[in-house]
Amino acid sequence: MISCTDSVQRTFIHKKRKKGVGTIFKQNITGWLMLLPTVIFAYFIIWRPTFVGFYDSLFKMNGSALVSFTGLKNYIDVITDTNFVTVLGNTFKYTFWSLVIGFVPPVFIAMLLNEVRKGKDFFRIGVYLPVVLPGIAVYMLWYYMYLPGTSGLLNTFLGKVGISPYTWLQDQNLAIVWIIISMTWHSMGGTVLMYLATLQGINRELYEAAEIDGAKIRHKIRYIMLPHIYPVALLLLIRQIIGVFQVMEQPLTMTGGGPNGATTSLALLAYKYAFEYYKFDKAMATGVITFLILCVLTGAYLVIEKKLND
Amino acid sequence: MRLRKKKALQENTATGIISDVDLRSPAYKIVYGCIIAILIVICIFTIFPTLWIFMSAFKDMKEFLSVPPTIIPKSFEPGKVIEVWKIARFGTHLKNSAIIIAGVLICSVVFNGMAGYVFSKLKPLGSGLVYKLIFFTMLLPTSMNLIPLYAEFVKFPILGINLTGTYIPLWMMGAISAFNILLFRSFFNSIPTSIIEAARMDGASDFGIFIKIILPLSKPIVMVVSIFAITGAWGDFLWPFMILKNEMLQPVSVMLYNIQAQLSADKYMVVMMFSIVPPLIIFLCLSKQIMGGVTIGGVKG
Repeated sequence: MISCTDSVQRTFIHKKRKKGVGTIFKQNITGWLMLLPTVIFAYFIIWRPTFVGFYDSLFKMNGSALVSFTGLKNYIDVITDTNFVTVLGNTFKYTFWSLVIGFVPPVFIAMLLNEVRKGKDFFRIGVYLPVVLPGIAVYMLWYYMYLPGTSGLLNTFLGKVGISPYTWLQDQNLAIVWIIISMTWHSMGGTVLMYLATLQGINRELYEAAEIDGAKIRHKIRYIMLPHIYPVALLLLIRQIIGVFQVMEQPLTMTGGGPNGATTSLALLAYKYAFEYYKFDKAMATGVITFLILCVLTGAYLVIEKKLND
Repeated sequence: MRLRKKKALQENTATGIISDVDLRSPAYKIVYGCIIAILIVICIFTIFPTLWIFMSAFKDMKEFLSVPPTIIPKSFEPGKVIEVWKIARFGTHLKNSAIIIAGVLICSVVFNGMAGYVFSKLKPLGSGLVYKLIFFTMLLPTSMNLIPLYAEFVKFPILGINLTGTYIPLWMMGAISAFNILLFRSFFNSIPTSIIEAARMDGASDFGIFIKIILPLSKPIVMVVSIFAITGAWGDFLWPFMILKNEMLQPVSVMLYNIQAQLSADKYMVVMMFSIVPPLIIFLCLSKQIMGGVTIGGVKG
């Protein structure tokens, strides 16, 4: 059976490329062998877990073992849980604030950097520096900066200006905003470099031609820069939404999801179901719910990327 | 002649919308000054918190809590650094991090490199489909993978063994990275196929060509991928935290989180300093390669 399909395949290749059958088979077999590890890893690390997460969420589980098929019961349990609406709202809050705080500044900073003549490298290194720090060090650094009471760094600064200490991460209403500021601080540099590369790729003759036509700075920004930035910005926007929607490490390490669950995100909820309550079934259902919400956004991402590549 | 010289000069210096001619007028000089000032403020915002760690690490507790905070530490306690190194068992955790990094580094260069080569040059039947599948699934949110993947490591399919408490899961995850495959693929695309065909004429095997011709040519990209693998593995927190419960096996990142309750704030700053110094050194030495790599393959982190 195997040899039969092999020969069919061989003749097929033979007709298609008009090369010697032997060499083509040889070429393919090396390629397949070199690709094999990647396929195996992709299967175990990406494909299988994605499928299993979906499948297992339909079962009642004991630890990580399946007990009995329960259909959508896990989903109903998760959604009807009193905390679910709060957590979903929090997740959207994270996304909203990350767009408000983190989306425009990188564009702005890249535009400024683009004008710099001397010392460009210094500013680039300065802006990119936080990106190379390990995530956990950044979370803990900001945790200490946000410490309530008089010992936190930011509160000592406030104290200097005569403002009484503020509670920062323990402020139920604004804790998410503070977390987002620390996230923006950490990851902004990469985005800035993306925009900067785009800006430097603009053909200078466009500006010169515009100057001859009497264009002012604001015209150059409006009619040359922004149209170039727009497609990159759209992609980064969707990536940012997808990334922030799955936020988990920051609330886990900085607030533990508190105060009063005010910073718990969907991903953190799934983590807590699995590792604090040992309910893997509910954890998987929460994961699938997050996944489904994000699928809509990823779909949009794919459509846009395809349009850009065409 | 003069005009051409002027133009060449302009192309060398200005990259933005303010041209050199504009810059001669005082109004634009003020604007340019403002731009530099804003950038300096931004750099203070990005650099200062990092600097704060270093400043605090050498202060004693009394000075650490002093209001207003001193910029340059008055008290200097080098003994504290050694003491914290011992309390945190930093040597052990450093060794663990090194083992994890070494595995991730080898896996990401070897496997992602081979995949990139196959997708770029060999293109055997069916590789197009695999490429699309990998990239499509990589774009999907990871939120659904996390828990099932953990369950998979607890009892690995087929083998039926528990991989938690070992470094194998971390290495495996290093072996499949769409970002690295993309980097390798776009680099190999820039190597002319004629070189490969010439070698093939001389009777070299495909694998031999990869080892003897492609790899020596690929030093720049191997460098970029290695840097990302090293800094990525050094900072990776969540997976080591979930998988490695034995303290003696934990890398620096997990120790940094766990030790927080045991140390006073000033001593904690020392541990923090230990954890940020290696990536900072790598970055300051290799900033060109690192920042270049970011823009090739998209945003990372």
